Amino acid sequence: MILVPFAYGFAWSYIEYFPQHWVFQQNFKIVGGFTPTIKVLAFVISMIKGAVVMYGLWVLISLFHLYEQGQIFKAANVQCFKSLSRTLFLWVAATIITEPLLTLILTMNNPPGLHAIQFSLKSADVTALVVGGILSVIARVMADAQAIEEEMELTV
Amino acid sequence: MPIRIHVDVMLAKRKMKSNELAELVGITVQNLSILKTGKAKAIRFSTLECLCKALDCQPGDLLEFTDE
Repeated sequence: MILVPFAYGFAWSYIEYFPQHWVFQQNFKIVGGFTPTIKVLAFVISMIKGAVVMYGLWVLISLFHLYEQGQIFKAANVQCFKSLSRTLFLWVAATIITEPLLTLILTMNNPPGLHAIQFSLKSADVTALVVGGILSVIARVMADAQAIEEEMELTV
Repeated sequence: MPIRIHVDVMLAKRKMKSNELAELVGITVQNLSILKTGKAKAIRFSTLECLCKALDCQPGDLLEFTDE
């Protein structure tokens, strides 16, 4: 979880050495290259998605910690699944927010008329929405399982 | 809980300890404690049968309905 900001920082620090198609699908030109200002601003904006990733990892750590303690159908587990579902929805929202901001920052040094704002919705984003919905249903089912387990625990 | 279980009353009458009763009934002391403290949400007929046998009483001696 702690490595996420370092990974994002490393990626933006050495972005010019990565193959461009790995990093960003761009339909625009970046005039003047990646200046330090662009790198810092791009890092800050991309940390919006990074924060969502860190939150998702923190929820996963909490969930596996509960499993380690033998707690399978408890209220805390249900909350974790709801949080994971929320994380995936937030991931898609973060993608929609960060992509135009990133393109704006990357083209901020371009001459007038060559600034760009890019929006896109990829199949991976739709998949994330679907999986988020499935996790939401799983959380609902687990809430029922939790009620049944509580009743079983108090049945002598 | 409107239904109360008077296990502690019957234990006192029969001069029996909780762990003895738990062993006779075949439940843990913790489960017996759940019964005694009124936290139980349900009781199996098999458990009720064993309690009646161990305490030599009727189900009505153990169970009471109170209109809360």
